[in-house]
Amino acid sequence: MLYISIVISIILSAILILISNSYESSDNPKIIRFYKKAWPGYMVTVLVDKLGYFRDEGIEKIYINREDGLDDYSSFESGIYDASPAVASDVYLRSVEQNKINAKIALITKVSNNADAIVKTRMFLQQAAK
Amino acid sequence: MMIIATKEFRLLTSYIVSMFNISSSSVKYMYSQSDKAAYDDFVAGRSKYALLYEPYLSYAIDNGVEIVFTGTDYRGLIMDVIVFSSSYIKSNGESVSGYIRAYFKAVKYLQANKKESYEIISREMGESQDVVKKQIEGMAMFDLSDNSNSFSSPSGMFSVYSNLKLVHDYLIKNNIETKIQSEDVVYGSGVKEVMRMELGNLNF
Repeated sequence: MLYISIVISIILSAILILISNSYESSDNPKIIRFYKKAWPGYMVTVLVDKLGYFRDEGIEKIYINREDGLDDYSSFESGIYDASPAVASDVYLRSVEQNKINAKIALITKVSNNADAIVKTRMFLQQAAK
Repeated sequence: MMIIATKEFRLLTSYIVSMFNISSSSVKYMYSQSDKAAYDDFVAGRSKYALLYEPYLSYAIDNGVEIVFTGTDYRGLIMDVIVFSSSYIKSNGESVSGYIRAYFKAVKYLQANKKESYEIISREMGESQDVVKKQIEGMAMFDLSDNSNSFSSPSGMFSVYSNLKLVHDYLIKNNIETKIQSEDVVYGSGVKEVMRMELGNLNF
C-alpha cells in the first residue's frame, strides 16, 4: 500500500511539474525584438510570423517601428531591437569602423543575384577605370 | 563621379566600386539616411549614380535606369544575412536557435507553396505579388543545407568566411588596420545545432 502511494505521489508530482512548465513557457515566452524592413532578405521572417512558427517555438516577436531618425546600424547599436536583416560584408566593415562587434551573423538568407545594384551607365565606370 | 548610397552602406559601396579598379580619390559619395531617401535623392537627380536595392531597385528599373553592377557580376559578394546583437546571443542562445529552426521551416513552406507565400508576403509588406515574385526570384535563397555548408566551409564562393575574408583583404589593401578578425562576426553555432537536430531526426 505504501509502495502504491509513493508511486502515485511520484506520478502526480511529475504531472504537476509538466503542467507548471507548460504554463511557464506560455507565461514567459522568449522575446525577440525585430526591425521589420521591406527587404527581400526579410520576407521569410514574415512567413515565419504569419504561419505561426514563432509561436511553435515559444517565441514572441515584437516589431520595432523606428522613428529615431538614425541609420539602420546606429539604431541597432542603440539596443532598441535584437535582430535585423543586414549584408554580411557590411556587418564586418561596421564592426571595424566601430572597433566593436555589436552584431553577429546568425544565418544567411540569400546571395543576391539581381536584387542589389549600382545604377546608371556601365560605360562611364569603364572609362573611369582606364 | 558621385554615387548616392545609404549611410550605413558607405563602406560597402566603396568596396563594390573598388571591384572596378577605380581609385577611391576619383569617387565621391552622397550619403542618404535611408534606402528610400537614397532612391528619392536619385530620382530627384542629385547624382547620376546610386547604389539601390529592392524594392527601390525595381522602381528605378521601371523608370528606365541602366544597371552598372549587380550581385550577379560578383556572385557571392552580396550575401544577405540575419544578425542578432552580440549581447542578445550571449544570453539568449536558445531563442536564436528557435528562430533559426522556425526560419528554415518557413523556407521549406515557401519552396513548396510559392503562390500562397507570395500572397502572404505581399499582404504583409504592402507590395504587389508581382514585385514580391520578382524580388524572390532575383535571389538565390539559402536553405538549411546551404547555411550549414556556408558556416562549415572555410573557403568557396558561398562560404561566409571566404566572403568576409575578401572584405578583410580589401581593408589591408587600403591600409585600414583592425584588430577585429572577420570570423569573429560570425555566430555559426545556431545553424550547426539546428542542422544536427535535423540530421538526428532523419537518422531516427
